[in-house]
Amino acid sequence: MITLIYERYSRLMMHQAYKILNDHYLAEDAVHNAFLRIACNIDTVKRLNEHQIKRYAVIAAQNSAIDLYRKHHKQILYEIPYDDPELKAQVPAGAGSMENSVLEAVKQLPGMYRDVFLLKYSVGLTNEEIGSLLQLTVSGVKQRLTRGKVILKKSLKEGYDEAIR
Amino acid sequence: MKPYDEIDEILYRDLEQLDHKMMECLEHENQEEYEFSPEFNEKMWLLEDQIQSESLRVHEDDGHPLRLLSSKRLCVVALVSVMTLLFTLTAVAAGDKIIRYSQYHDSLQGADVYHYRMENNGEEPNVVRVYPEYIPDSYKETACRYDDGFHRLDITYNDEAGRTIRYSMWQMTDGVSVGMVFDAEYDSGETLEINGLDWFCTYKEDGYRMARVLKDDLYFLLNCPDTLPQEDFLKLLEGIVPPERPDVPAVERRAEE
Repeated sequence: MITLIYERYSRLMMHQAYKILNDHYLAEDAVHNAFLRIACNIDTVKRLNEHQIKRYAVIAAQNSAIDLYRKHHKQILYEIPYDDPELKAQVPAGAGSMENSVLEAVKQLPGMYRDVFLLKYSVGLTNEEIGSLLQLTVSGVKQRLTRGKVILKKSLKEGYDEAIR
Repeated sequence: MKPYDEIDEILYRDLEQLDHKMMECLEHENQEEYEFSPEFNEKMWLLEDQIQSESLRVHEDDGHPLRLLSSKRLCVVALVSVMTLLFTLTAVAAGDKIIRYSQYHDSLQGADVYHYRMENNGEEPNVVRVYPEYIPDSYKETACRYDDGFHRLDITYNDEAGRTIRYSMWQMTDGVSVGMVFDAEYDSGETLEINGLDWFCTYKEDGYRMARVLKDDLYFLLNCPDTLPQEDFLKLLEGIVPPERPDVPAVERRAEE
């Protein structure tokens, strides 16, 4: 399983880590740390489909890179500015206006919340499994989900108010 | 405004589709073929090897099925079995044929770090492979790999309970620096002279029995479970016999950094 992830996704993981760290050696360290996290959660990964594994691996690499960035830059900020092509993704055709608004709002969420949303609703992980990957407690995961939904609600309300005007 | 449970429903139903689109954007952006460094590939190779031999698994105290190690413990295992190999080209001093050796203690990692650098004037090494002559009956060889590029031999032995003995041998190569990181948080350590080799042995309760030694241009590392009797451990060390070679580099030990 690790070999498969390495062969298929290590370069994608490296690319994500490099965008955050801007240093090839540090990015390789981050990718290796991500593989350690994946190895520790291999039973979870084994039941995921191909897309879900890819998302899992990418988030593992990004979070490992962010951890290294914070360590090297002595920062406590979670959000690190880097080009995020995922924001360019178009909401799937056929979605109703409500669905469209919700998905657009999820896309715009800060990374720390969006990762948890993707792992829960798209990959289908439990809060425990998300915590294990992101090295958060279960209550930390729940907190991010709650806060993420508050941001979603606010964003949807703003969109609703604008539409009324 | 829709209530939260409807948002949940939308997310469960539709977010995966958006996730696919987002991933497509990510992959579209990632066009370059990055070549990973030898150090990275080496670490990945070690990780795969450890997973294959189930060395990432430990027995629970109550004898129930195996469980995965925590991330922290996993890192310690990686440390024990040589976490980092740094391969960098070095300038070779003409005429000398020596191995430079230095060590320091990294208190942050709780690790002993060793550096070796071979200066062999560009000569090809007289390649040797040393296999252990003794392995306890209950252990069977489950993996054996030799890396021609780095002249490195790794053999893994497992018993029926999943316990692992890991044997490694490196031969120093000209113009290559090697960095090794070992867990220094062991319970006790001693030097044992066996077959003319000064093995440095470390013991950790509920952990390992480990031994390492440098003999000329050969480096040996043995990593056993702590459940292995000391008698077997000593027999294993006695069974590692490097060949006599008259023309080998001298070892120059630098002061501890």
